[in-house]
Parts: sequence; C-alpha cells; structure tokens
Amino acid sequence: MQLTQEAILATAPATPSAPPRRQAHGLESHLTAARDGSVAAFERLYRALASQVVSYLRWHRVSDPDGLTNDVFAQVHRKLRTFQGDEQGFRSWVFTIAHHRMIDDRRRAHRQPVVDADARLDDRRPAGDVEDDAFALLGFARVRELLDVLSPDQRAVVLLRVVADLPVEEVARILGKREGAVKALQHRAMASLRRHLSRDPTPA
Amino acid sequence: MSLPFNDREVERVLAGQQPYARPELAEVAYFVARLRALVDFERTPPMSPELRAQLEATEAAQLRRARSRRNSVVGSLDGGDTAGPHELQLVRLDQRRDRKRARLQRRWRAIAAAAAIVTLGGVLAVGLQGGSRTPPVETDPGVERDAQPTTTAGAPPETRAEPPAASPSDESSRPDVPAEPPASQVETSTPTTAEPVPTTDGSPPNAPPPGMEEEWPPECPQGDWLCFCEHYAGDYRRMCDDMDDYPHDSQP
Repeated sequence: MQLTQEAILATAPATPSAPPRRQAHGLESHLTAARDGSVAAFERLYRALASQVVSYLRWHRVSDPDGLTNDVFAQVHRKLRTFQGDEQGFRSWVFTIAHHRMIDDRRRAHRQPVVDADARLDDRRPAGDVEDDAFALLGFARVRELLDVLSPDQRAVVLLRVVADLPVEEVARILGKREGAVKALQHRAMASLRRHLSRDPTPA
Repeated sequence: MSLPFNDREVERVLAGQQPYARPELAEVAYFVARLRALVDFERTPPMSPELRAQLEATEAAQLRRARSRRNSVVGSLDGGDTAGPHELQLVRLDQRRDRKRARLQRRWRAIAAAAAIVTLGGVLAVGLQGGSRTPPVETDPGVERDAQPTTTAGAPPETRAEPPAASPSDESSRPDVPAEPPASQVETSTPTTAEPVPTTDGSPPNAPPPGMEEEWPPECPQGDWLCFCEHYAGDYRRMCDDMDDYPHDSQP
C-alpha cells in the first residue's frame, strides 16, 4: 500500500499541467444587460458557462449533452427576467436547471435505449496539440472510470464542487440537502476514490 | 463510522491539491486536478437552431419595441399615424384644441377691427357734422357763406355760386320743400348779391321755414354722412365733403 502510494506520487504530480481554468467571473454587467434583454450579453453568458454545463452533463452520462445544454440555456433565457441575484446566484441557478434536466434525461433513458455519449468523444475534443489531445483522451477514460465508482449523490456533489465551482451551501440548495449531508457525501466520495485507487493504482 | 479526513483536507483535495502530510490523498487530488483539466478542455457547444431562433425572436421583439417607441415619439411630434392609438388620440385632441384657439383668435381680431372701424367712422361722422354745422341762431348768413370754405374742407368759393337749388330733380326728390322760384333763382344766380334776407316774421335767417321744423336740420337724401343739407337763402342745398362731386343734386 505504501509502495503503491509512493509510486503514484513519483509518477503523477498532484497538480497536472493544464490550461488556465476559464473563469466566469466578471459577468455581473453581462448578467444585468441580459436581464434587460440584451442578446449579445446573453451570448457572453452562454460562452462563459456553457462549457461547464455541458461538461457537468457529460460526466453524468446524459444522452445528448450539447442538446441538453441548449435546452438549459433556452430555459435560462426564458426565465432570465424573473431571476434575482448576483453572479454566484446565477451560476447556481443555471446548474440547478442543468441538474433537473439531467434527472429528466435519466428518467427518459429508462424508457428509451441509451446512446452513450462516448461515441462522440472524438467530436468534442478540441483540435489542438496532438500530445495534449491524447493525454486528455486517456485522462477522460480514467476519470470516467473513477466517477463510476461513486454513487449518484456522491458524483453529483463532486461534479458540482469541481466542475461548477460551487460552494457547499449552493450544492446543498441544488440537491435539496442540508450542508452537513453534502459534506458527508463529499467525505465519502473521497474515501471511495481513495479505496478504489489503492486497489487499482493505475494512474489517471 | 469516523471519516478519515477533515473538512480542510477535503477542500484541498477538491481544489486539486494534496493536503499536507496526507500522501494517501495524492492520487485522489490528482484525479480531481485531472477532472478540472478536462473541464477546462471542454469546448463550448454551438447554439442550437431553437435557441438561436429564440434569441433572434427576442432581438426582433426588442427592435419592434424600440421602433414603436421611436415612432410614438415622432408621431407625437408630427401627429403621424404611426403613433399608438392613445398617443394618436392625444395628439389629435391637442391639434383640435390649437385649431379652435386659432379660430377664436381670428374671430376676435375681426370683431375688434370691425368695432374700430365703426367707432372711427362714427367719430368722423360726428366730427364732420359738428364741424360743418354752425350755430343756426344769431349768425349772419353772409358771414356764414364766407365761412363755408373753411367748414367744407377747402371748397372753392366760386363753385358755391352755381345754382344748385334750381335743379328740378332736387325738387322732385323733395316735394315737400316749398318752392320759391323767383327768389331762389335771383339769389343763386347772383351769389355775390346774396344778402341775408330776413324773413317776414322776423325769425333768424337759418331758421327753418314755417312748416319745416320737423325736417330741420334736413337729412341728406341717401343718409350719406359725407353730405349734409343746408338751408340757404330760403332754399336747400346739399353740401358734400368731396367737392369734386358737388353738386349732388342730380342724385336722387
């Protein structure tokens, strides 16, 4: 066990080199303008948040992440005039809609044959450096394998904390749980991941 | 069941960093960092036609609203038909009120002008009549005759020597005037010798003859305020302000 951990530490850095994270900060002015009906401001909001929403939906293995993302933003656009809050509240609201859409899609998937989104994996990769693309593909498969270890609630908490960059209280509000329950879920998620990685030390 | 990590360590792992003195969490932290990197690699999905159509519909509605606002402003300025029903109604009411006010102003101006003309005419008539009529009593007819040019606006003295009273039309138009042909003919034919002839009853020379009191001062046949009638030497003559038309005895 100790050797395995040391091997992991030797082979994989704790923070891999990655492009700088796209931050959705500074959206207050666009949010205000979009609420007043500006289409250009709404398109900026879409460009700032759509990648995180589609990623959240993709990790949840929805049937059509791009289509669901468009549905999410269509609903956001329809209800934007009724929204009250700041940028953090807006992000929380968008991911609440995305989470509900994900649940609806999961219910639909029980009645219809599931189309795996991995079939379009090559389409969603950005065309850039070949080494980075190969590294991302390999990392994508490993991360998906690790996420499948988690329960649906643990997966939702981890994805909302990591992908959506939401604090515990916002995650609790989206999932309809107490903050303590969310903290317990993320503790258990870390423990499950650690147990799985100790049994299967293949580096991501 | 006790949790193996505290909250701070979990937060650090979720940030993609290995907690201090917890090497067993290094691989988990690496997993989270890989997940973050993949999210950063995620491309923005293109907008679906439905979402694009929804945005375009919103934009078109905005343009329509902006155009209607602009047209309503322009319509309220020029009263065009492009304004909204309520605004158009207000504009028409304003225009109707302005037109009514202008019409009332024009009417009052016309009334004031007519009143001024009538007043001026009355003043002129009164002035002419008052200036032309000398006191009928205690006036020497000769002096009155000599003073006529000054009261008849510069009439030449010799024109007054013509015999206007000899016109038959004057007699026909005034049948009630007593005709005294011999005396009037003699006096009008020789105006220089027209001395005031005292009446037989001792009354003043310009006093109305007997039976003519009701017509004194005699009115002009047409009521023309530029003319007046004068009893002169036992006869009536029509004196007009415009001496070019003198005598007017030929007029009815």
